[in-house]
Amino acid sequence: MNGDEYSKLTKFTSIINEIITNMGMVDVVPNEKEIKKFLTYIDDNNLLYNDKDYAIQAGFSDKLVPLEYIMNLTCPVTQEIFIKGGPELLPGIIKGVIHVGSILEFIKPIVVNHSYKIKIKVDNPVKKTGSKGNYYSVVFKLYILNENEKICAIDNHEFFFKLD
Amino acid sequence: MDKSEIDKIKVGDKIPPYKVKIRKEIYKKYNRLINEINPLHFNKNYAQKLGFKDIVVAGNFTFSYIPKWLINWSGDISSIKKISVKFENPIYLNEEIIHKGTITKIENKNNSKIIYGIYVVEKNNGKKVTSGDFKIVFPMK
Repeated sequence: MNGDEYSKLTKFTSIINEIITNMGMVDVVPNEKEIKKFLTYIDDNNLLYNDKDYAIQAGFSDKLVPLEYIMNLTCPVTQEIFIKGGPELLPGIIKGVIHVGSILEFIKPIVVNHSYKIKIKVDNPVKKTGSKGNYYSVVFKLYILNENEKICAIDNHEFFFKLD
Repeated sequence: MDKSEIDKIKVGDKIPPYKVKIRKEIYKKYNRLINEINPLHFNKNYAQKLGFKDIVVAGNFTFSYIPKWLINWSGDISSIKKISVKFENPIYLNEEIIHKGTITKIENKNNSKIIYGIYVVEKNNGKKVTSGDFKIVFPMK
């Protein structure tokens, strides 16, 4: 890695870590109306997602947030990180960023209209080489916690980016 | 899925394929719902300037069909424990995609049957667009 590349990568890491520290835990309340619309878009009739009485009879406190919807809770958080980085980050240091994948773990049920917090951690970027040259992978680990600070879901959200 | 069906699951079993068409009018509604800000996902000119054929459907949206498909097979939302997803090639509006999965490993542990599998999502021409793996746990009590 040359000096310029090292300097940019260090700056990238510093900016991202500062943003995450300042954001702290992000409040999120899965919105029942938005989820209802979403379910019609993907044509999902699962009663645990659609029928409150059914969900309560099944032992839950309210309708469940669909597993299909979890990334719609986590993606806005990573989006906000890059937005807060502003032009200093993109395109100042990095040239484009793309979400290439996620590893999602579903640990406890998440219900609509209840308050949760998203805790953010980030790994150091890892250099990769492809047919179009060098690029970097960075993984944001997003933990959705309930009011008792128990982990309900995890999204290990991977981005690729190139240095400018 | 009842206990007798779970008992019969074995390595090599295929999960019934699931086909879905990414409809333009539905995707536009989804973009409005989530306040999409990346023009790659709603501006054709922008997408084409980046080298894509058309508007690229966001991975979050296409991912939605994967848990739905697995839950339809397992019959139990709480059985789905882990899904990895890798977005490999763009999916465009009005394209049809097919989800295909295979069971690769089974463990019997702590009164549970733990199913591991891999999946691919392909276009009608066989081009792979998404891949990943999953973990499903069935309590056996």
